[in-house]
Amino acid sequence: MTEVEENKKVEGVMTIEELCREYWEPLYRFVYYKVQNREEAEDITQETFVKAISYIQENRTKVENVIGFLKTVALNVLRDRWRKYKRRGNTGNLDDISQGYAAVNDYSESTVQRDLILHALSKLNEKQKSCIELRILQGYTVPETAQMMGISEGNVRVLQYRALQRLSKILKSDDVD
Amino acid sequence: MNRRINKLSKYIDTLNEERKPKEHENKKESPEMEELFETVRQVRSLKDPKLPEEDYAEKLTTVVKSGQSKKKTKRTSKRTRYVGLAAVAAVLVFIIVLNTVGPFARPNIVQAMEQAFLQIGAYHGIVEVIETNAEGESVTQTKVEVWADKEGRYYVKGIEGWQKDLVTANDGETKWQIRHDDKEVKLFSAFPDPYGFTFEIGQEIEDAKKAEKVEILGDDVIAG
Repeated sequence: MTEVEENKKVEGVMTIEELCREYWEPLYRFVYYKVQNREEAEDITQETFVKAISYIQENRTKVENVIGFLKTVALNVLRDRWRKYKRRGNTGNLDDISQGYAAVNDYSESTVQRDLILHALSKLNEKQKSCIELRILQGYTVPETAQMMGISEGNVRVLQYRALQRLSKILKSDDVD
Repeated sequence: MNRRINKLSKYIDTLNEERKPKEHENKKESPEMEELFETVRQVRSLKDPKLPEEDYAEKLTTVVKSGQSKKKTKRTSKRTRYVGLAAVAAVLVFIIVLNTVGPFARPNIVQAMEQAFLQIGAYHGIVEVIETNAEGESVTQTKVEVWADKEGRYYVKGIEGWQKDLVTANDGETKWQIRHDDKEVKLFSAFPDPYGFTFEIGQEIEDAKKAEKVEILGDDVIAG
């Protein structure tokens, strides 16, 4: 069997190239949402494709919902990494995956989740809000933020710490209305 | 308190630089810090994700295909050698790590090694560390027989070099060493044992990932 023919086995009709080209971006966005950095999102996306395609080929499985399946594998990869770093964890078993499960806890495109976070941000005082906006949403460094806000760098660090503590409490509580 | 404030600030800086924070590798933070990190990620999720370079899909395809061919190699060789361990297959690529400072250069071969290594549970083989000088003369520094799994357990027996006849084993609970002539067993705690033995493949791959430049000298298959 040629390599092309072998590749055709994935999903019955799609080659590995087609599968990667079609699905890398939604999967990457999903992973990025979880890890919030490009370096890790690229790595996990890649590992997910390798594992998912191996699973499909070895089990000759027909996957109905490809992106759902990929997201579920990505979640397993993330969980495996967390466990591995805690030493002696078990390896996730792809056989345990049931398709359709990935939709659970997938907030990457959820406007409800966005609204909750925006609502929580609106409950911060003006200084805290500005600090979070500059540091996290606009990505300025501590010295740049300090200069723009007219406060010391130490104050920026304390301000963002307090703001995030407050945000964390608001997001955890039911007090979001 | 100051330590936590600074740590949180560094975490934000690392994400702003689109790099993986070390806290994602070592999840030993207090629940409070975990919650703050999670909150940072939630706030960041309001922004559009930073997408990879334009050629990412192409590179991804290459690496994924490479991962598949490594798996095929593993399947065909399964019938033959080394029955003892659970899943024993690794492609061992000898590399020279020319510079271990830069974290960004990760040629496909390193990614392929990483992917191949992800497929296995344990491995067995003879590891030979050879040093070659500028005049091209090679000297074997050490040669050891290794049985290792990815949980950090291993058995290493020295065949040549300074480790000759030295057996070191670590079962995750205890580490011990026996030298044939001494008739004495030395016991150590299993942890910390961050670099279990010379040329532990997983560790070598981690080092290669941080290398600025790698050079392939040849390849061999440790199969099972």
